[in-house]
Amino acid sequence: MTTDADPAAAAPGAGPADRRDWGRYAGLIVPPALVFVAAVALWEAAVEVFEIQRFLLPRPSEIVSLFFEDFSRLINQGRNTLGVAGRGLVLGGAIGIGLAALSFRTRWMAEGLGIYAAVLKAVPVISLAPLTVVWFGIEAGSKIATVSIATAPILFTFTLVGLRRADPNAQELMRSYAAGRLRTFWSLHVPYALPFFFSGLKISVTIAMIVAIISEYFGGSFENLGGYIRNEANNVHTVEVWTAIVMACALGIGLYMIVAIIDRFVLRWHSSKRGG
Amino acid sequence: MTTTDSASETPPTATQTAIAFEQVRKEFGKGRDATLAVDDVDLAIGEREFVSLIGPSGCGKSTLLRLAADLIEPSGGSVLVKGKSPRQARLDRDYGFIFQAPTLFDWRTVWKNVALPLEIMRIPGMTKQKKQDEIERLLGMVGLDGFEKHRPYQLSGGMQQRVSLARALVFRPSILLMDEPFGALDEITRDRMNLELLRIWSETHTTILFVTHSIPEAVLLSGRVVVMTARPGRVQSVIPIDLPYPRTTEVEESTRYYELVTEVREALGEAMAGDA
Ligand SMILES: Nc1ncnc2c1ncn2[C@@H]1O[C@H](COP(=O)(O)OP(=O)(O)O)[C@@H](O)[C@H]1O
Ligand SMILES: [Mg+2]
Repeated sequence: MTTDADPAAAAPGAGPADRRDWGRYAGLIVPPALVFVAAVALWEAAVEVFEIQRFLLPRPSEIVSLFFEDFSRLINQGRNTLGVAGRGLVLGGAIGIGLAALSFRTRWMAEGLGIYAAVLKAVPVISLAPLTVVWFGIEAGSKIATVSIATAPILFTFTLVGLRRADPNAQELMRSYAAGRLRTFWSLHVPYALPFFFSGLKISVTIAMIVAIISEYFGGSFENLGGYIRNEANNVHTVEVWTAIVMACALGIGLYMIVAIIDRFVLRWHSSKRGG
Repeated sequence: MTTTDSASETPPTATQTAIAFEQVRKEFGKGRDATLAVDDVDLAIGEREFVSLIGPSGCGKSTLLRLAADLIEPSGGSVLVKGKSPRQARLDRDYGFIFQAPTLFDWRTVWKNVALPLEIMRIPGMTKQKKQDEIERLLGMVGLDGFEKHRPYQLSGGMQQRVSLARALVFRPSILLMDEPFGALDEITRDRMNLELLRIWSETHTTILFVTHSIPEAVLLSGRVVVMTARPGRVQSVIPIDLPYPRTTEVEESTRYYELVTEVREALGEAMAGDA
């Protein structure tokens, strides 16, 4: 997967509206909601008027009713997909954050690793899926590995930028206290890295979901969203495919929102979250 | 009791040397690009003395302070802090460093900022209760009762610098190295901070090496003012300030004060002329 998001630009300062600014929030939510409702209504009407065939484009109302009918199965499959995305993200995060923590003090190490991170971010990681299948098998293992390969470089880059951003004066202050390396790392560098880490995490959760579903689509069990989509699409069960897409969207957005809320809660002190 | 009183009311006599610069030279960079920041500096600061460094911008005032703090190492000569190498003095937590920027940690409350050195140093015998009392006492001393739970960004620049001062005093270093601590404050706040610093100095019996751009500030505070020349930084002259302690703003109305300000200004003028 590719992401050319620039950590320096994406992290602090670019925060959303003030928490208390309900007017602006309404302004952010109401227009897109209206557009959404209008688009769905238009879609429903178009299928009716032009007599579009079900297997090409089903009615939204039909998708919604099947979605709730199949809800318990969809949520089960969604749980499996989430498990792959989540475990891949944790593994990718451990690798990315670990390497950032090990290399941020040493310029040549950080820059050497940075080049590979940049390359990995540019490579469509999903094209590595056949290789991970050879290495880790057709089931969850290979999919988790692919998610890790996609997310590790993102979390590496963002965390590294944050760790290196620590105020030089504050670093000298810690030195003047004769603080140990670990202490300085936790007390100074980590707080500086957190906003950047969260920006990277917000990008990574979305990518983890996408990569998980596509790897599932490539092969293995049907008991997940990607596998289900593959199976139903092969049988031209378009409505079923759509219900899985809706579930995937719901989970993806949900996951993103959870991260965004934690971010906001953890970083209340940070200037980008203080508003005004 | 009587000894303590007399110590705080009369100019402290230099019994022992707190900081000694001998033939100190500091060069930044190598070869053609090398800058000779300070050269041939001989200066001894007695225990409990208040000495100011003043001179044109770039004359090496910060460099001298940073040499004493073991933030940088001399290229020649020797620096001794309490008779030890600056490195040993740093490891022994003999000095507190105060930067022009308050350098507070936004993710910590005022209280937690002041507690930071104690967390790091784990001074033997410093129980939780003693720690609490000490922080409380210091916040009172710098006039910040009631702001314990505030975050640094909720305070004015003057208040932030008070927190920084309390943080430097909390582990009771015998030396304070202050690099233009009030340089970013407005004049009214600066005047008040100066008087408070004098009071704290006499109460805590610390040695203070103080860098400033302001002639009145240097004369009001110091027992001696060291005037420096630029390129390379050298000691141009040392002017004893024979105004009796404790000093208040009334000092600024005396003729002697006026004469001393003039004397420092002329020395500084010569230092700048030599530079051109
Ligand atoms: N880390 C450094 N690298 C290179 N040159 C430096 C460094 N620190 C200071 N200098 C140079 O040394 C000289 C003295 O600097 P400094 O001690 O900061 O002056 P002051 O505090 O009196 O304004 C200046 O010419 C400055 O450019
Ligand atoms: Mg300076």
